[in-house]
Amino acid sequence: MFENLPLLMNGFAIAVSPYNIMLMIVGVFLGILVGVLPGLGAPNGVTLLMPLTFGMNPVSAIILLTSMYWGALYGGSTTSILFNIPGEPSSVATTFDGYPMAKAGRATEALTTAFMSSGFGALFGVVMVTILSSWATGFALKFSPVEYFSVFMLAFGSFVAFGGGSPIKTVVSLGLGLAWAGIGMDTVSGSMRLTYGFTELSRGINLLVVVIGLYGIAELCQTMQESVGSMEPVASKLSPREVFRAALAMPRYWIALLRSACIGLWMGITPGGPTAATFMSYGVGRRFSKAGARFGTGHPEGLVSSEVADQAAGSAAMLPMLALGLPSSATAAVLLGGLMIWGVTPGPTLFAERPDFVWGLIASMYVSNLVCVIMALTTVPLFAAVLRVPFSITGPLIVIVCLVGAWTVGSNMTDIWMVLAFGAIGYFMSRLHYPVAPLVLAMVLGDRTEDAFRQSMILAKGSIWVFWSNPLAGTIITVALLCFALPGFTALWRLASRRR
Amino acid sequence: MEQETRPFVSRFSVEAAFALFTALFGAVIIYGALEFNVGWGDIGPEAGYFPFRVGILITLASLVNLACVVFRHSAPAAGVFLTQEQMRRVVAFAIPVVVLVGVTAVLGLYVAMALYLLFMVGLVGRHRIRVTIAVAISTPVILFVLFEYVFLTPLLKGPLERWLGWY
Amino acid sequence: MRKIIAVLIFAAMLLPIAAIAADWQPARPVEFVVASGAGGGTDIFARTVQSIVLKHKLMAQPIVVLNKGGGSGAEGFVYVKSATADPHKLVFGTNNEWMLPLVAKVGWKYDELTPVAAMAFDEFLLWTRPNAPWKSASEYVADAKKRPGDMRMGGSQSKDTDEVLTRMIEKASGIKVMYVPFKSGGEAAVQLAGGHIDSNTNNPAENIGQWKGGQGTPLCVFSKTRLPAGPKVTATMGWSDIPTCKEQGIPIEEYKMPRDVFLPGGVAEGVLAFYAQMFKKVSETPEWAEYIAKTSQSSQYMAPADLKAFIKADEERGRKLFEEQGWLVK
Repeated sequence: MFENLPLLMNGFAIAVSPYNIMLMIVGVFLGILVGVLPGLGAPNGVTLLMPLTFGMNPVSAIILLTSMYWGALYGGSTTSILFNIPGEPSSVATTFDGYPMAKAGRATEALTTAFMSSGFGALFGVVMVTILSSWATGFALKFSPVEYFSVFMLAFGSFVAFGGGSPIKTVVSLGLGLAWAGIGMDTVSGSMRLTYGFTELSRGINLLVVVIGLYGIAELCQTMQESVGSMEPVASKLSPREVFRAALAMPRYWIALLRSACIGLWMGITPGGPTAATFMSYGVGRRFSKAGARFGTGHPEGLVSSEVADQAAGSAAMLPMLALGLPSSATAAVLLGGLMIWGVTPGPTLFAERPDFVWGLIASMYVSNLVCVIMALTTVPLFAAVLRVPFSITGPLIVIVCLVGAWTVGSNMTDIWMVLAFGAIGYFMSRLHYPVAPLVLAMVLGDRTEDAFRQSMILAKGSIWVFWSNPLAGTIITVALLCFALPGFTALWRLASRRR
Repeated sequence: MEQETRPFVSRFSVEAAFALFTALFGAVIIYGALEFNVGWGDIGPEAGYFPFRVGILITLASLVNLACVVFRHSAPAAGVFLTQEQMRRVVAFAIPVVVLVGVTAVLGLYVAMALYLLFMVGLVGRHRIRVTIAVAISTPVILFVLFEYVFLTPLLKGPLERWLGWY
Repeated sequence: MRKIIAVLIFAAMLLPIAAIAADWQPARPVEFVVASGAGGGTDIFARTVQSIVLKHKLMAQPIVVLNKGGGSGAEGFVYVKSATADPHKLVFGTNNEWMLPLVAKVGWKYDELTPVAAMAFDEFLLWTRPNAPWKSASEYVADAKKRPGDMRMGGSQSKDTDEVLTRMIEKASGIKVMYVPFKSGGEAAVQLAGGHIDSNTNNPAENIGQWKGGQGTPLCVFSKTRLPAGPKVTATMGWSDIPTCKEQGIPIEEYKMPRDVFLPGGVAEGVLAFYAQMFKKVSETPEWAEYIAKTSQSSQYMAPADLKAFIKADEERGRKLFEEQGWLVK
């Protein structure tokens, strides 16, 4: 367990130079900036910076780019909390409690809680990466499509089944998400599905376009519909003391912090990805936490659940990326391309071959996340002050941010029209109490789950029992199925006890 | 005050209409899936297998929803969905946005957003001229510098930018 | 003598035309559209070209790289196709430009884009999982013959380069394997490392990390000759130690994937000449040689006319094979 310590110290010696610290600060700053602008986001930001790094040495290059990635994750939470617009798919779950908090005048508290949670999640992730590096990669190699399918089902089971609301409406919402995820190229058969002859549909429907519409535009419609009085801004306390107070309250949520960090770590290594991790963590929190019933109404613990899992998964995902060349997020895929250009070949021997690079990167993750927390916290009063601007100005600006975000996703006019359509659908869904989150989760995991299932079936020649063919897959899929069955059981149990 | 509470559309009709809409959407998915084999082939599910079942799932669930609304007329389905005043507000928000997108397609994002902000902040929001102009001009300019120069991600441009020689 | 004079006059008449053609310069930022997601082989190709053009100042205007990888790259090709005659949009792709329209309903035909240049060809190898019982390609084939449909072959996407090669191997050596499509070659490499599949047909760059770590071994390369010798990859083997598949008794002469660039249809001659010239210069830089060596591809520049002929021949070959497999889209 401690054999990695000298390597890590060596890494610190490489990573902590004035030049690299400067790169971290620049990276984090740019990251927060692109994170705040939805659509631009971390993958685009990292892609844009890439040409600048071609001439750098690989350690500095990856420090700059990963710092930008961390910064973007923090920035993405900001717009989720303030305006209900997730800057990244992985901060959708942040809106569930973050936005209600901001609406109730607790923006400063929400932002501080989110950033502190992110910091904790990242730190937890990096410590685990340091300790588990050799074990985790071997573990990740055990994953065939069979295990992937089981993990995805577990994510579905733990979020959807633990959710509230009308079960039939949840099914409709899930179905819509699955259908949208199925549009476009099908990996297993290589054919274009559900495009109805429209060329525009052949590239599929982008998740961010859906999310910007369902959350951003739909929420604006809701706000507009209320009386003029509610359109007035809710002032939040801006003093640094408020930030400090919220930060000190963090240890109160220690159970949620640890639980979410473990879920994030699991999804980062397996690799289900950060977005799925946030949903799973939120779902589990809602079911097992004492405060679970108040999730979704603006409870800090809900915010903690999603933010910690997001960052823990994001950092842990560095491990399969370096050791296997397996990216578990869009940004990781871009970084992987960068590695090739810098002449670093990801693979099982990278840790032995380029310890300077690997441990320099891991050490930089400790430092740059510290930089992130400090920089993000200093922006809290600034961002919270945005809410003091009258809504008759911020409202139209949010509309523009949404449209610009939709455009940058694919430089395509159709996406902008689609944002409007999804905005209308989202408005009706939330007014009619259709849960929107299962739809988003279905879009994130829908086609990956289908691919994994069909790949498993090819490998097993059509035998469904392949999911119980080894202890790992068998355990995960059984737990997942139990999750789905749980609401039924509890209902039965309640019925039985009432009769008695 | 009377206009504030006069109902425009009942929750019942909107619930029913949305359930019909999702049922129709499900039917469209079923139709799209039928282009492929929807069965279980010799190497597992075919391309149309899942979309076909998802389509059926959506349609069935929507019809159950519809039945709940129509026959039970249950508590959540009762009441008002939008009052006339609320409807007016939503429309007053939605129409400029649709126009904005339409204008964007012709004039590009920068010009369209300037016009939209002039309209919304100045005419609808009734802010002072100085504030209006500051918002309507600075937003496109800041975004222009950010996207075109800092991030090298060109936004949609129109005739004005072409005339000025920016592509 | 008169003949020579006539030729000279004719040449003199051509000069200004040539001068005009060579004089065309981009007037605004040029878009490099990448027909793959960020981080894929095509993406690295385009970004390498971008960095070389910037470094050697081969073009006055800045370059904007756009990833449009939706629908296996269909998004990028459709985007450039619909910008007819626009000289400031280039799309970077592979043979999917002419193969994809054969197997899927997409919004362009292969001859609606203008081929500009092919710059490199990526090799294909037959890789096998660690601790596999077979030590050579011939043993692999012999074993596959014994149990048809059992050998698990992984690859990137369906009805794409990897599956095409798999079907060619089946036909050439009379075996039947189980093809499992994954999202990318990288995923197929990891599945191979974990022993979940028996073999894959990855490009060198997609599997080199695993090879180094003993998590996948190359059996043979689908090339006419062995790969050029370089530094040893593992303790005992380098690229040139891998036999060709033909040596090993799989009668496939050669299978390569081009890295190529296209302009929209209807662009002027001079535009085409400018870019063709620019890419030729790129292919002669030391940075390009370094990229080729790092990714173990073979560098081969193809001018517009050659590429056009190559595509036509390759498309016909593909059409025939796809017809046999029943893949052609109506």
